[in-house]
Amino acid sequence: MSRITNYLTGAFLLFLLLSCTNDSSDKTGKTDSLNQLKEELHLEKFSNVNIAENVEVNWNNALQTKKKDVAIVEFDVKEKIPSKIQSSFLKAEMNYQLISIESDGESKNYFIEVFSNNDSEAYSKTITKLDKFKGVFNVFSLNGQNLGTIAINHGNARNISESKALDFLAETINLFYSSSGNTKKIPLCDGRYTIVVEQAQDRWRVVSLNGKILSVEYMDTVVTTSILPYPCDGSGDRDAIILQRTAHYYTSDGKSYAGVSGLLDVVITDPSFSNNPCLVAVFTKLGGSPTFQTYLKRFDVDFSVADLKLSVGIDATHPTASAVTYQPVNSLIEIKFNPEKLDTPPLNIAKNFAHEILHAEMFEKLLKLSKKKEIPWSAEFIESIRNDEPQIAEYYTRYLYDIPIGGSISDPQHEYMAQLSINTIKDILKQYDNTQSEDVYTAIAWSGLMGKGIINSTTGLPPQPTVAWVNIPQTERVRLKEIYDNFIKNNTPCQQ
Amino acid sequence: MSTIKLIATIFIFSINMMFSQENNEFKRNSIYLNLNDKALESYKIDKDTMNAHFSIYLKKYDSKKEREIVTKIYDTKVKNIKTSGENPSDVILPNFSIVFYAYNEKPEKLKSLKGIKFITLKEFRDNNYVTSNPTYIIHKLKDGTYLKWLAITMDEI
Repeated sequence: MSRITNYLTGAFLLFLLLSCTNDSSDKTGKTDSLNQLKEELHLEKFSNVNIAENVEVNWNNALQTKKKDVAIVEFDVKEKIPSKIQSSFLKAEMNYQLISIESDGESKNYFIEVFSNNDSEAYSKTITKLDKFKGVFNVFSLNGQNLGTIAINHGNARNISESKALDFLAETINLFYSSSGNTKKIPLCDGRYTIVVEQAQDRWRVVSLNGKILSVEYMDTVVTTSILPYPCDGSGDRDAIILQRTAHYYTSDGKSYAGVSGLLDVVITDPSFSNNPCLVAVFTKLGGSPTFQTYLKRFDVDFSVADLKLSVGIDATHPTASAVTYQPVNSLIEIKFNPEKLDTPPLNIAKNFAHEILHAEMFEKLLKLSKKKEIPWSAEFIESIRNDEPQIAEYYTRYLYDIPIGGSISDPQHEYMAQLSINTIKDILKQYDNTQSEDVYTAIAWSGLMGKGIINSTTGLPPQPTVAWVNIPQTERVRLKEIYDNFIKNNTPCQQ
Repeated sequence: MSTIKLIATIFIFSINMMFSQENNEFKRNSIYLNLNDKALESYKIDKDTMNAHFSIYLKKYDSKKEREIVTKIYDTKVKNIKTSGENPSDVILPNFSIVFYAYNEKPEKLKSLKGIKFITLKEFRDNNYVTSNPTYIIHKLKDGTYLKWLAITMDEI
């Protein structure tokens, strides 16, 4: 309903604004539509504090542009107190704008937050002249809903959030974009690309005698069609990759603030992490996973007792581990990714994010219940949280503090995740990349939750398996291991 | 007309080759293993040579004594876990080795190693166990030929 109201309001506003007449009724209508737009804009509903409290729209100066059947009206938005970004690759200045677009009777309104790359010209206060601009737009509805992010590279808009709500805006921006070369058509390495290639093969009949060619006759041409991988610019267009992966900027305390996708504002990213293209790309794309965001939101400063830090390094005790989540220290939980273990496909790296965020979530729950800055580990503490977190308490009891007869010590969090979180990990993987089969998601989700030790090729079991993995039928275990192996072997790694 | 077609054909073949090369540009290292090397914790090759694994000791756990010390510390931690206040994440016996799995795929048989780039087990271990995933594991057979397995490591997370 509100969407229809938005369209009607925008269409009405545009109609009035683009009118050349000056009679009093038009002026009244213009004022009415402006008032309506003002009514629809609820800055106070924006979760981004800077937008909610520090910006104001200049309603007196509307920039109008028309191209083909598209009419655009843009209002400049200024910060009351100019804020600055501390970033190694973004300009310090931020820009905001209110945009209303009407095309074919359809009208939409957007509030955008603009970040400019260091090597870009300053934002020209219009989406119609972006040929020298490089940066990203955080796009919101007028009531503060984060619609996603559009990356701009010399006027070319990419809907990197792959949000349908942004298609209209991206297409409008691209109306004003003229490609300067074929290289701009090369996609970023953020997905699988294929190209259909028609291979034409001419066949000739060669008649020879004693090594001497007597005649050559054209027979026919056989055309075969193949689907081949299309090259993406993983090692090429650094600027484009940065645009795609621009995901966060920092305040002076090193904490990211109102990040591009809306999820990075809740984590602390160590430079070792933010300088790693593979991890940043996967993490940015995970912004499109509502399930992952739900878990990450637990670390939103408004609700969380713990901060989450993402870093890159090799754990001394577990040097071959792909990633490690450290328990809270002074209310800080750290996930460290091994830079030498990024040579698997991005979807597998996404699984590592999902796996580690589940560890972090359990630590956060325990910390919250302890009401301390570190978890006071003991059987008593675990018992004390049983009413609040019965499942976590049960897994710590059963696999650590009070192992039943016949049972054995095991990692409580891995046992918990193997039993209860496989579908959660699968959901995140599907939201990250919906092109794989159900079996592939299942196989990847299990990786890391099968247990410890060398996996037997016949049984699919390591010497210390998780209980949930043992409960999977043997043929299924072996099959899943095989699917995982094939997936790793046959897909492009995130980092080489 | 035919000339144009021929050029077109060659051109298309060139494009095709270019794409094929893209597809095969995955970096895949090779490690040469001496199956009698003490650094090799264990290996197993199925009779039908469809599956194999090669487990390589991490350097700090080369000595049996070191492994026993770590295991003893772990056992003590387990014993005292109820009252020690120990972080359960630290009550984990570390992996003593890194395991390469070749699964459901026969190895390539090589007559010689001529022209094949590889690193030795020592080089692999000295370089912090850095290799590609998957990695080719190469070892010698009694008849003087070699087997080359395409093997992956499982995520430890």
